[in-house]
Amino acid sequence: MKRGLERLIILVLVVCLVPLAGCGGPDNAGNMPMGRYVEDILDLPDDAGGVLAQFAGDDGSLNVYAMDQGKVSLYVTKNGESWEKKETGWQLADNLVNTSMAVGSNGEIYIAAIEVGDGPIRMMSSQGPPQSQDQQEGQDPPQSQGQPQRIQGQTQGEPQRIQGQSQDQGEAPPQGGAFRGGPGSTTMRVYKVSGNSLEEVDVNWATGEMGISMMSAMMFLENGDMVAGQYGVGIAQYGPDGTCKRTYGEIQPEAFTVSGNKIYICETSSNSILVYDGETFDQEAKLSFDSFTLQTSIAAGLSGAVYLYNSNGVFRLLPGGSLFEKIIDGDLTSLSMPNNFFQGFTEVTEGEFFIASSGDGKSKLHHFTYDPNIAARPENELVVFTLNENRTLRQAAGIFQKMHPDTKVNIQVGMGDDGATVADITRVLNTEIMAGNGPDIIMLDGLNAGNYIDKGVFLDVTDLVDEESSKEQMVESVLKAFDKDGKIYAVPAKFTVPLIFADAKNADAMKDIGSLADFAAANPDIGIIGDKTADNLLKVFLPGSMPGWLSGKEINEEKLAEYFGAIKTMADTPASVIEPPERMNRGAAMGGGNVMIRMGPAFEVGESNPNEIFNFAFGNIHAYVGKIASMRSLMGANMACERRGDCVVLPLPGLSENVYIPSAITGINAKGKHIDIAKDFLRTMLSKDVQSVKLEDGFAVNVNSIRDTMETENNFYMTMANATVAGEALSGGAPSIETQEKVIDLCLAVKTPYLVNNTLAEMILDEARGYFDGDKDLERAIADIRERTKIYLAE
Amino acid sequence: MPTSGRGLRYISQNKVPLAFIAPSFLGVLVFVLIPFADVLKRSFFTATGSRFVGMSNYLNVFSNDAFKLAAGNTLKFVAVCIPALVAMSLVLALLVSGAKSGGDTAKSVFLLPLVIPAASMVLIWKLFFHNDGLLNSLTGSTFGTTVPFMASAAAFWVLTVSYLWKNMGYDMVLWMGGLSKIPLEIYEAAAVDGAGNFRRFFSITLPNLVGVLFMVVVLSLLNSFKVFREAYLVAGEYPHTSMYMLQHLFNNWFTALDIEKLCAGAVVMAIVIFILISLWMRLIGEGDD
Repeated sequence: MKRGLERLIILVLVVCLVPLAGCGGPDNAGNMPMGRYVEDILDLPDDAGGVLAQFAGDDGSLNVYAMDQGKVSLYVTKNGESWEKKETGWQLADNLVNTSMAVGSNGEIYIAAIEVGDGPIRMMSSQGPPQSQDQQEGQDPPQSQGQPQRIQGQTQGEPQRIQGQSQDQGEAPPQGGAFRGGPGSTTMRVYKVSGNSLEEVDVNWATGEMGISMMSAMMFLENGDMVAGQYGVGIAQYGPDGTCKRTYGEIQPEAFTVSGNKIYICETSSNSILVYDGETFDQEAKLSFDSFTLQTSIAAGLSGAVYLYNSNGVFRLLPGGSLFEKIIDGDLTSLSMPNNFFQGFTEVTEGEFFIASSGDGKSKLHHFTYDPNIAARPENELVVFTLNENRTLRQAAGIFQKMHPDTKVNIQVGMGDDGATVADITRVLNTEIMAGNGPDIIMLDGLNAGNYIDKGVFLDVTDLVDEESSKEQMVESVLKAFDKDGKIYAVPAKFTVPLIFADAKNADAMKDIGSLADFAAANPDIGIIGDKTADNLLKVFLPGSMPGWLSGKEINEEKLAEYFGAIKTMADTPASVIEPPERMNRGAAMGGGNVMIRMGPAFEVGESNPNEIFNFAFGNIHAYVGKIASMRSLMGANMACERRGDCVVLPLPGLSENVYIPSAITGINAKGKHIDIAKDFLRTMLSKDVQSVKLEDGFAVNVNSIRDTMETENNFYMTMANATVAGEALSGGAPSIETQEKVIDLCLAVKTPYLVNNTLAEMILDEARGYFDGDKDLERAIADIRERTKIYLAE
Repeated sequence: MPTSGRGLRYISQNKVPLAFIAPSFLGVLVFVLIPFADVLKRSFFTATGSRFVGMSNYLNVFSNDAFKLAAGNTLKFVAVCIPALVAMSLVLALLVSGAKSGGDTAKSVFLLPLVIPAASMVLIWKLFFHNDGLLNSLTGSTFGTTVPFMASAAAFWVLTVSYLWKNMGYDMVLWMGGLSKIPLEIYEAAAVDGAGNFRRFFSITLPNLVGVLFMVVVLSLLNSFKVFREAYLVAGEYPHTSMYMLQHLFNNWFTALDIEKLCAGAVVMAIVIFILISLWMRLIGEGDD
């Protein structure tokens, strides 16, 4: 009996365990789900100019209205194979800016724009006759494209105020006077296209509490009402007579669209989409959506469907539905690329979309069609690990996926919002690597690259690098930053260069740290830089000197003493410290294994606080140190130089020459599962398609790409103002060709990588503080450093 | 170890107790023994396991100055703390056991430090031992000087005091368990025979506590490694040299992907602990005899 009971228990246990043996991974017996949207990227015709709007044609074609110097043309395509150009005959005046288009309920076309005049801003409520649509005589047109639009104005009359905001039923329209623009004013206009001419539509614009109202977008409901997104007001609904019926949402409007008589408004603060009925003004629904990004757009499709699209993909809400379904994964398309700025979405037939985007000064269309014969998920997955978000990596992933539709690039970002430290993330990564489950590609920015290279984690990619170098001219010294015994195991795809800007007459003093210190002592009236505290000087000049006194795990004490001596000389000059406004802590990792060193106020090595540009421009300090990553990051310092007059730009003075900071450092896991695919990905990172895209995260290692990205910024113009030097502003365009060439030469001349060992740097600078505070002499400081770093170096 | 025939008979005769310990043994096998076997294997290979290097990892470890420092500090810590903890907790147990009232309250009070989370302990450390902490405020106002507790040799003693404070209650409870098992009649008989307190302690109490002594020492040794948590939270990966322990070294080696050295060091440490406990067992065993 007992035996029988035992056998029964054993049998029951076995029966329970057997089904568990069936648990396993996905069925690989060929039952892969099929069907996925595929992407095709189309360029607009060269003469198209900027995209105004895009609409679906009745025959399933895409109609794109584009404007070039005020002339609006229509481009029509079916399936994106070819373009047919039609002239509309519309010519918009030069002083109409921020133009947008919409189609009314009866198919008529409306154009909205800001008419720029030299008079006061008339986007506030006032009494007065409507602005004539003719250009004002005697007024100069605004500056042409590339020049800043300067709008100055004053209020007239009583601004209209919207009383409170409600999420339930919108808001009643403002009471009181209507909004009109006066003569010569800068004001909003809406025009209806009538044949070849534009008829102005009279609109009594709603204004917000600040009395300013500017439109961001315009659409029309089925019942003929116009719905406009207006800064300072929210989403405003206007009747055919031009009066405001209701306002919805926050006063800074978020993305919205209309479908039928419904208004869909994004509310990122609550991760939801609010749905209003445009007839009753009731809020019908609040739909949940948790995939918002910084640039999420919403658009209406066919048959009442509504679409949300951003870098995460395309999401669809069917009529009557309450959930947005992800139909296109952004990671599998170029939607995830950081240089995309979405401009419009059109569903031309069921399941066929066009998304317009611009980037690098060009507009393009992403054409999506559903292919039922392609696997729903790519069969391969390339896992890429990065400590922090990296724009170059995202760009490369987007381009790579286009070329390899059978491979998904899964980018795993280590630093999230969970409070994990770099050490924690490193341990997790190391665990995975040791367990044989490591990522296929590791981006080493923020990590100690030497550890992974020395331990043989990475594949030797010397042949790959040589192959790419033979195709295009590369900055060889950067490519070989992680050369070990003649072999390359990790490759930086970008780099930044710390530079010093100073008067030409002082150029000799900026050659190295010693002469800089002597110069500071000889010219003590003003500081070398604004924040000339020892703490800040140590950090600003660190990249130029650290490679000189730290090599691997060897500290050259003599050179370290020389560096400290120079910093102390500069810090001890009698000039006052100009402390610029404190800037926010930036946790971004930089290349070369460096992360922000946590000492004192937030800073990054190799650059002054950017606010010091103004002090330099107006002669309050001798020099400005900037970590230059692109043309745009050069512009501020360049403007300061132009203001100051007769300046030079030189490599950061230090104990080492021509220092640079490598970034987007990429290595292939030698034990990864997809070595060949990983190599292709690395080739993509180094290709012109990625290198020539303006991502502002470093100079390309491809020399021609450096020139390309510099050239495309030549039309850029900026203005800077700062409280540091009150009442003053700096403005200007691209640096001169001579300056650009000089900076390019400096990029090509870089030779010493700043491969900081952050742990060691913190120990050294921590012990050095006592010396700069006067608590100990230099020998004692060096001895303390030796003691403090003993364990680390011994490990 | 029984031979295969006897082994089968052994299993057959003891299948019920074996069935009861099987799940636990399975857990130990999966989470301790197999991983340790992997560590042992890795200690003879390079970091990525691609090449066999024989004993060179062990030679590296033994010649590594950081390992020598850490091992020395760890041994010193164990040599200072374990005897102190054993003695102090035994005295405390005797006092609390002998107390006529308030014994339970005393037990709870002494056990409290054990349940304080490490992060809270760190706050307490900082409160007392920081450069601007309580103790330095006192010394500063009294003697006009401050002591950099965490940045000097005093760090070792801070660690020691912290360890003793935290584990005293736990060991005290273990001792009290042992004390409660000693029959009172023996003490009464000894008292009748004219034995004084000290004589009774050394002739009755201590011999009867040998088994507990073994357990207390072993558990205290294992608990001594847990002090790394507080040390790490306060002083980071590279504390003052006086409190740099083997765990610091192993943690840093893991972060730096020096897996081969880490594994070799771990095997050495395991062997040393095994030897120590074996010696201790033999000593206690001889005492029992």
